Amino acid sequence: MGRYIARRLLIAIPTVIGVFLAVYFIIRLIPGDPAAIMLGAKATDEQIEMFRRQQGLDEPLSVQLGIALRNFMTGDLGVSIVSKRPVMALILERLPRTVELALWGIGLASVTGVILGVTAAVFRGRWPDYLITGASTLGMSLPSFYIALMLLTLFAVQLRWIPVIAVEGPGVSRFKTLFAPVLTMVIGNSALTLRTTRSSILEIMRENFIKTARAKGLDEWAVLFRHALKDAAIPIITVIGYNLAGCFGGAIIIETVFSRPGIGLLLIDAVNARDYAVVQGTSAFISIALIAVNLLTDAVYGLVDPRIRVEAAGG
Amino acid sequence: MRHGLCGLFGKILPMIAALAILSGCAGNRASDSIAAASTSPSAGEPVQSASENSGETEAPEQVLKIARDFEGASFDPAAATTANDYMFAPMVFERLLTYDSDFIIQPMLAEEWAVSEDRLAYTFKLRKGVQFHRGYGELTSGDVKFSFERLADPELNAASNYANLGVENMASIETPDNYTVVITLKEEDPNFLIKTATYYGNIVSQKAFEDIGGQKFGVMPVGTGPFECVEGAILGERNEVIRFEDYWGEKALLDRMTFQLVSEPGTMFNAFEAGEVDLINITDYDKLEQYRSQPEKYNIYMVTSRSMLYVGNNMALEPFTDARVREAMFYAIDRDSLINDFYLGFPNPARSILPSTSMFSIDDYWDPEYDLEKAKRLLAEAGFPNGFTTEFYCPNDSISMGPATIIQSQLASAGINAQLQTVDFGVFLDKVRAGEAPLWLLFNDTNIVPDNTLSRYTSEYYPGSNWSGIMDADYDAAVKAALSETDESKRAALYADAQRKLIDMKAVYTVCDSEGYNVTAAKVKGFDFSADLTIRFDKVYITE
Repeated sequence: MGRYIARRLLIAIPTVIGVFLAVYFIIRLIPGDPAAIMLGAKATDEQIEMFRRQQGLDEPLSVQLGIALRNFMTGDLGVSIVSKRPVMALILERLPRTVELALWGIGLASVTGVILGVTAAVFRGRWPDYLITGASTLGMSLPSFYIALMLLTLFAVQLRWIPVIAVEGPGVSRFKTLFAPVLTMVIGNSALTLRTTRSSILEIMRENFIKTARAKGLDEWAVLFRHALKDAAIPIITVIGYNLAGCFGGAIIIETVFSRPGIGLLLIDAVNARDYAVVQGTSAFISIALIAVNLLTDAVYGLVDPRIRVEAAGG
Repeated sequence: MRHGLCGLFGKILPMIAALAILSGCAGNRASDSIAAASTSPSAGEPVQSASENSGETEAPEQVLKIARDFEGASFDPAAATTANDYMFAPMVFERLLTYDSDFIIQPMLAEEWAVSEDRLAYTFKLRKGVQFHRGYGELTSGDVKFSFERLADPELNAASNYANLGVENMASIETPDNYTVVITLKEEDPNFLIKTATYYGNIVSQKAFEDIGGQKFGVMPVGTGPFECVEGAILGERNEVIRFEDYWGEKALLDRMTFQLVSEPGTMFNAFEAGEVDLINITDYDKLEQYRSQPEKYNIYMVTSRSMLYVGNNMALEPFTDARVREAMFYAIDRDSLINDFYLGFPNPARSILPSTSMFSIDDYWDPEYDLEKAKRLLAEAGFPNGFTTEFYCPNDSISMGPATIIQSQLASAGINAQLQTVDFGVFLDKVRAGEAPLWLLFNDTNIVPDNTLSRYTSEYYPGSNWSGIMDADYDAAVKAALSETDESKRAALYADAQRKLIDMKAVYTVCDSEGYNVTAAKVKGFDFSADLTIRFDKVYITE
């Protein structure tokens, strides 16, 4: 397993560099001069030229690429042309909020999804199943910004249980700032986990070894939790990993509605401002996070199914 | 041994919880430090809010909570470029001079000033005893010299303020003593005094900048204003200022102000209506109407900004090379309908090519007529009896798309099929600066000294800042004459002449002045604006 992870880490290096280079060129293909955007519409030509000169934006593309790549290989993600602050400092400033939201949101969404999925599978064809799958359809259908705004209106504006601006501060507890954003993520992300759990359980329950377990006299709960769930775990873990990976850049809607500036908002603001270094650095950081989550998912596979561990070690 | 899913979750959930707690502790640093900074000294410097320091009665703390929808990248005034930067900056920083509503120069950090006979040397006598925030000592002439010269630093993103203050035209800045600054210009600049009275010339502490460092200074800068920054600010998120107890003038009434960035308008309105913030800036006229209908709960304050709604054509592109086509376009726009129906009558119609709050703006020459029949007749004379199709560019933001859609339909009534191209702001700038936008629309700012706005339409700036492709030698000469005239008695007439020539070319149509509407909770009193259109937070107080 260790060799497998080491091999995956080695493959990750060219992947991250590839992401960096791809983003480097793509962001520069987007029309829009960062100097003009930064200084605004009333800036004169002389002011724009001065800004470009000061920020090195008048250098040839190849020179800019060389500098950026050299810095990147030494761990320097560059400096924001907008704020003049190191990109890594900007990311680290925003990261805790994103990680906090992602872990609580995906954690609770996963637990909720699995429990409800198992319940739906157990009560297949009866009203609990219809209720749960119907709710999951709603959760998957509603856009996240709609869910966020509805929760905000209900809990913050109508009931006044939580603050509208979900940022901790004097007199505002952590729980209150997380409640609505996390609930938004749970509603949106648990649906897929729920559906996957339900279908996986139903498929496993038709297998012969389940019949054998029942024939041995095991009660239904033991059949379900000691035998069926173990085999149903792989696709469920895949979905959870997919949801977690998507959080790092995909939480921008929640970050915007609840005014919780995180990595997603950092990236979109940087794209709008053509802040090249921040876009490159943040994209590279997100790709590293995605690779880490995928590795974690693979490692969890091995924990759940030793056959995967053996194949990975031998491969 | 195989592990069940339940056992797996039993292992993973504690790890997730631990990670969340760790991340939460990290995320809590900002809030803790703001809370701590409000009640305890910053590093090495005794800073306490008045209510905690007074030891007097238990009067409720006067705290004004402000939400704003956009924030610049730095609180360092050298890097300020956005309207919100300027709204925040004046209460933390001050300039050598200021001006009143008639643009008459008034003293501020400089008590006296004198201009040499050749109008190249300006001598300023500083007010004595003015203190910088956070114990950084008394204002001296060295701080003024530092504040101006540092605008050339490429690390500060100060290109705008460097140019607008005219630093390049400064041959030297001398400090013969601690309270005297002598600035010698390379060339005469009749607008120099008023430039030093604007936010381009904000004065900061040299000692603080060198002590704190550029990046941290951008988060917690040090000035001389009635409010000072506290630690714990997070750019792009929140910051806080407290009353400066050693302010040289009349102390502010508020104890603290908190600023929260809320980019989503719905969230901002909800937070305001829930009482989480006390002051917002609003551009949604329907929402404004709602607040106006509840005077017992909300106060509304309007200030006419130096921003206007511009609609332009590019007279270097067909068919706008024909003056009749441009005139037809102007006749096709029903400005009154746009202002009354779309803007619900709030803004004032534009009276010139310059906003009414800019120097030298005229108000007796621009009053466009709406006449659909004249528009159609002119188009027919120009060879377009059935109209023509063209492209109409505007940024894809909420304040531009609305009026652009209205004007598009108005032009269509005359036969001008303007295909609306709502694009990202960066793409919009690319298009107009490249001279590729036959029609364009934008809310744009003008400085108090309108030189940039007038000169951008001269020949040398096409393509570039001259979005309308104007290449008219008469206009070029008129602008040059206005900008170079040093005789005060002649300047107004020359600026007026340049404006009339620009209006006559029918390349730029101004719709209305842009008004800024600030809405406060009813408990907020004393709200007022200074002549430079910024909020006088030092006069604001809270009632219960």
